[in-house]
Amino acid sequence: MKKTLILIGITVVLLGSGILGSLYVMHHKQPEKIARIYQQDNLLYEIDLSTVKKSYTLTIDGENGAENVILVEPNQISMQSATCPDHLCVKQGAISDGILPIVCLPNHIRISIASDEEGSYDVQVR
Amino acid sequence: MSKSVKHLVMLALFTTMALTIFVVEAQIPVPVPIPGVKLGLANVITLIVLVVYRPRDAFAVLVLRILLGSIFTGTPVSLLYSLTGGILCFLGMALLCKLLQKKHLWFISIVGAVLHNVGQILAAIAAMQSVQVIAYFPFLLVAGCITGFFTGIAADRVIHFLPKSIFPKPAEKPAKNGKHS
Repeated sequence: MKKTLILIGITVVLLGSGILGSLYVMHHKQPEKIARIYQQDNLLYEIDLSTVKKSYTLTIDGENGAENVILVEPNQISMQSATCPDHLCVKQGAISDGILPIVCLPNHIRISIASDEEGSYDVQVR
Repeated sequence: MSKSVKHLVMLALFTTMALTIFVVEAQIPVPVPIPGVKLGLANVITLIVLVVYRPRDAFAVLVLRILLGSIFTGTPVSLLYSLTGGILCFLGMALLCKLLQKKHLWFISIVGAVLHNVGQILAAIAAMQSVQVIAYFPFLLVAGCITGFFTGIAADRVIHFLPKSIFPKPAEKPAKNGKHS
């Protein structure tokens, strides 16, 4: 019986940390709206979303006929269409300043906002 | 001899069931747009085989299900995610199965589901060559706890209603078996 309580406790801790982590990820805002689009680990595009005045699309071709269309709009970016089987990246909708990236796992496309991977940019802005 | 044939047939049947569940589940749309979230119903079969038979039997069923499943439904890329997640999940569940009793199957299943997600995130980090996908992990953790709990309960119920004749009790004592034949 005691063991069951310990196991329930561990589960509650796991679930709780997951919920807290999810809330943190959802509410964390980035100071800048610079979107970076990667294919594998290659940086393809770097767009400052706050300077976008008119919407446009970018098409990225991958291996085996994979194709991802990215919609760039003022202050936000989204995956418009993808050739992957699940289309989760399309369903995720637009991102603007959160830390959660749009990821198309099957086609290895990743759109992230102002990642600190190239932190030197933050200094060079002004 | 006939025992090992029966054993083989049972494992083949379990693999078929797992594969069917896996393929059917792939057709069910997931309500949340987070990559990697799914019900994990095929894990019910892995759990059953793990409890009823030996860990290596469960491992064989799991790997066969993942290999065949990705031939039928997925792409070579999804194989990578399923395999890392599946193997990590199996290792955790096999260890816990030794430590805990059968009535704690729901917990074993939760740990398995969470470890499956850990494996998927690790594979995604390797494939994307970026640590940023870790931002998905909290969501997967919540989903893993919930789906893991229910698959665990499901496996527990199925084992409860399985006919006793499929439990391979004599097969676990090969020395005694040898004397008789």
